[in-house]
Amino acid sequence: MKTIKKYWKIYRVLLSNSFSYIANYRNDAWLMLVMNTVSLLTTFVIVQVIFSQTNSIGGWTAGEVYLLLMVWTILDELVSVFFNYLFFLPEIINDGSVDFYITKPVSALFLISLKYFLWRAVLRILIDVVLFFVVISYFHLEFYWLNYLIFFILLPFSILVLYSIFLIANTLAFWFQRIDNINDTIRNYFSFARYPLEIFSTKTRWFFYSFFPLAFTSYIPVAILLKRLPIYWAAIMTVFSLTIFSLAILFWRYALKRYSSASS
Amino acid sequence: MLIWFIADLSPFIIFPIIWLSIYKQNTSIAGFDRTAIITYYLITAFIVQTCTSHVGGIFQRNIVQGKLNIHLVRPLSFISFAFIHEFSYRLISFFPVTVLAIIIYIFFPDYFRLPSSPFTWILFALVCLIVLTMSHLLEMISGLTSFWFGENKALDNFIYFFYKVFSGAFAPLAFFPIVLQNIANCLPFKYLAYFPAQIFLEQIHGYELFYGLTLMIVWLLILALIVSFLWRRGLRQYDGSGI
Repeated sequence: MKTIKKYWKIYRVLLSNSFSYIANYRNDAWLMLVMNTVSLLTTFVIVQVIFSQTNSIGGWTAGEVYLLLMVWTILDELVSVFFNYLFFLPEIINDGSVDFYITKPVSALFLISLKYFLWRAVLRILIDVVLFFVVISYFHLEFYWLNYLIFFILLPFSILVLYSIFLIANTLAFWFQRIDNINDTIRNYFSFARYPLEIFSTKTRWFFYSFFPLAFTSYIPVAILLKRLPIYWAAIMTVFSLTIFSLAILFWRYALKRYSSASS
Repeated sequence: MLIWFIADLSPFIIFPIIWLSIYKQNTSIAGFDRTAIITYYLITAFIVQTCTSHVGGIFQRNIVQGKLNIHLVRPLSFISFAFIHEFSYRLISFFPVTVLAIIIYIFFPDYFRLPSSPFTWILFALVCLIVLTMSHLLEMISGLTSFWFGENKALDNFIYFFYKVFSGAFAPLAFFPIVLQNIANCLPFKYLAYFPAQIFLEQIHGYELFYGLTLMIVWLLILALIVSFLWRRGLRQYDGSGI
């Protein structure tokens, strides 16, 4: 309990520092909001073009695909909001700034992961959440209350999976120095989860449930919500997310031993 | 470079898969059969990898950080320098992309339709050079606005979003609703992916081809004029800060 209190106190300081930082760049925040909205609209246009030629893809209707798209967008934004500084890990490994974090009397991973809270994206998430409910209402999607409840319970586990993937990928920078663009690559390929996995062959789907686990981001929660997957998948997803998180932490600890502190 | 290469390929993997799932219900969509749609995405991937310039950031950094000063006193103009820099980079990209295309053709010949006429090959090669120049000019326009605004990220992103929707890189424009097709016809972006892909697929002939090529050249000249105007005006504005 004492440790939790200590970390919560530190996190409040980090939140406050992040807010001070963003307050200096208010115009940038508005600009990014406009750009993200345009980006989302672009994706909507592409999905609309697809559905102008068909009534369903992989058996999913337009409303269901838009729902999946919105859930993916919200998850992606949430990871960016909470763990933004993690994406700079290759940079701080290369310039030796990791020294600064490993010499503190708290977990280095805690500081690196949560140092920067992306306040400017909070409004974007609110807009995305509104759009999520607009999609439900516009396409008259109806859900059973238990599936709805499980869907919301699973979202933090989806974030945990995404965090673990980004942590594993960025930790590779301890071996391969110039991999700053690894985050864009992962995001590009994990964004396949914006579309129903039924469009892929069985072998590819197996791959997405194991080595490249994008099924455990937006697909499984939405598929359970839409009753396309049985509820026991929620248990599988929970176990999987905790396992991959544990593996990511172990990998981080192993990699940290290799750190040679370039700046010293 | 390899990671960027892999990252840029992602849309050209997901969209053919989506369309193939739709082709289970339809044999042809807007004149594209299964082979044509896969070839379309392979060719647009080739164009994006080898003919799409990313020079805007170089202009922005050189202007904002005052590094342009060095180039202004050199015998080679900065515009020529940037073009040669980008052209070399694209030339390097050309080889892995071509090898990848050959591998795909060898293993999946049914999914890759090659042009039957040698004239198409020559025309496609020439059009690719124009695409590279057009893309380069568009990027330069974005980069040159840094003379006035410093940060050009917003304009760069807006150009990218328009490119994303109206170039046809994500879906053939023939699949789009008529309204969006009409908008695309009024913009230069369709000449950066859709039009060259149509040439490769031999879907465009005679007057239509001539008309398209003429418009492409007209857009090229318009963009060149804008760049020339921005460059001359921008240099007057430039104060060389960062010296």
